[in-house]
Amino acid sequence: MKTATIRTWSWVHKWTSLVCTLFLLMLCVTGLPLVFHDEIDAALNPATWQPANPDGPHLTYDEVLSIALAERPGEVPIFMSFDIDRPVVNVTTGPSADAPGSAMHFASYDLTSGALVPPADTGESVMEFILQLHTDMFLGLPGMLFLGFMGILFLAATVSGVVLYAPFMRKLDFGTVRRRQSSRIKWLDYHNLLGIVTLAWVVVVGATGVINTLEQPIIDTWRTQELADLVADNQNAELGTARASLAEAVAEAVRLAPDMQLQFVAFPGSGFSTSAHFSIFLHGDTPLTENLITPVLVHAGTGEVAGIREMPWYAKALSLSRPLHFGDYGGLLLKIIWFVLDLITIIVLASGVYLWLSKGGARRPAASTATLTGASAQ
Amino acid sequence: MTRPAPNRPRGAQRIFAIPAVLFVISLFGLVASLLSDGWPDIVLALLAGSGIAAIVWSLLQRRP
Repeated sequence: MKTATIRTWSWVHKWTSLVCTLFLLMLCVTGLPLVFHDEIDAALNPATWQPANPDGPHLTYDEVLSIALAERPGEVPIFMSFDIDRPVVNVTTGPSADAPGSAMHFASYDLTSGALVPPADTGESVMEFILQLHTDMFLGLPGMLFLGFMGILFLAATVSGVVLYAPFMRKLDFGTVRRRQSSRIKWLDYHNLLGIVTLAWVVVVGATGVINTLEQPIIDTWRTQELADLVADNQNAELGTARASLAEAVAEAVRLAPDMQLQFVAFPGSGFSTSAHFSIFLHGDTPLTENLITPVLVHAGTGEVAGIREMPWYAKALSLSRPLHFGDYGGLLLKIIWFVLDLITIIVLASGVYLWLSKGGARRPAASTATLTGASAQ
Repeated sequence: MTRPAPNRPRGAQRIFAIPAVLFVISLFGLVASLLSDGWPDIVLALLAGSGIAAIVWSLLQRRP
């Protein structure tokens, strides 16, 4: 590689890294507890709850809905979701179907008795805080997009780092760490080794992280482009006072999409539906397809199915980016490996800063030689 | 061109041979974990973490 080429890549590596390092350190540190989100939740909230009649018949979704609405006079239903491993239905209500999240009320009901299920949310606020910091630094969409840009810089720093790996390793065997030379040379070798062996993970987590920051634009595009005709065709559908059975609507949706599981229902007027339909969201039941959602629109007055639509490719990409970013898809061992790789990335970032500081910048070659010889003499 | 053997410059092929293998193995483990369920998860997670094994191996080497 020509000296000029190396110099160009060094410039790219230095500046892309310097700009994003502080944010990447924050992301890596907040990412550590997020890897074990499920385990921390489970440890703080021991599963002591039991259904009232474990073997008894289940209430219908319509009955649960009536109970939930009786508990919240004057409110309307917004969402209904379903626990996977216990007979529990969660109902979100609010003063209106398009109420903001802060005005919504969330309650869980025992499907075997209709009794309220106590919320298991010990420690939830701390994890929420960490997740929010990690996602958008409490700045909403601009914060998310900013972190996405930092992710792109980080990927550029990674690519330039791989290119620069070659000239540094020209005279060294793979895995060489010159421990007995200066501290700077030792950390340069560690930086190169740790960086190059974690490359696949860093690229996967970095790229999926960038995709995740586009969540809101992607979902908006899906709603306005792909679902627009479905919603427009049905937007003017009149909703009288008669109500179709929710349970039958759900059963019909599940019948139309075999091999899919019920995920949640959005009620008429809510952000994920039309003014006259239940949007019933189903997801696949294999490890790959469980992240892929298919919505079914059912008229809330007549119970007729109005349309079913698969996700477009970009929404699928977003759905698959979530598990690949958080590492919560392959069991506990994968999470531990995720944790260790995250720690190694922190070392790579910190050693990069150290190498930049100890070099004293390319502008002061004399000083950097002095640092090097001084360090070697110790 | 009579350099001492340990200092002979290596070509890109040799420099990137092991990193490329680790990259492919780790990437396969990361992606395939998404498709599997049950016991293969453990094998695939170990493949995904093959870089960690490479670090441990290199730390165990005694070099000057």
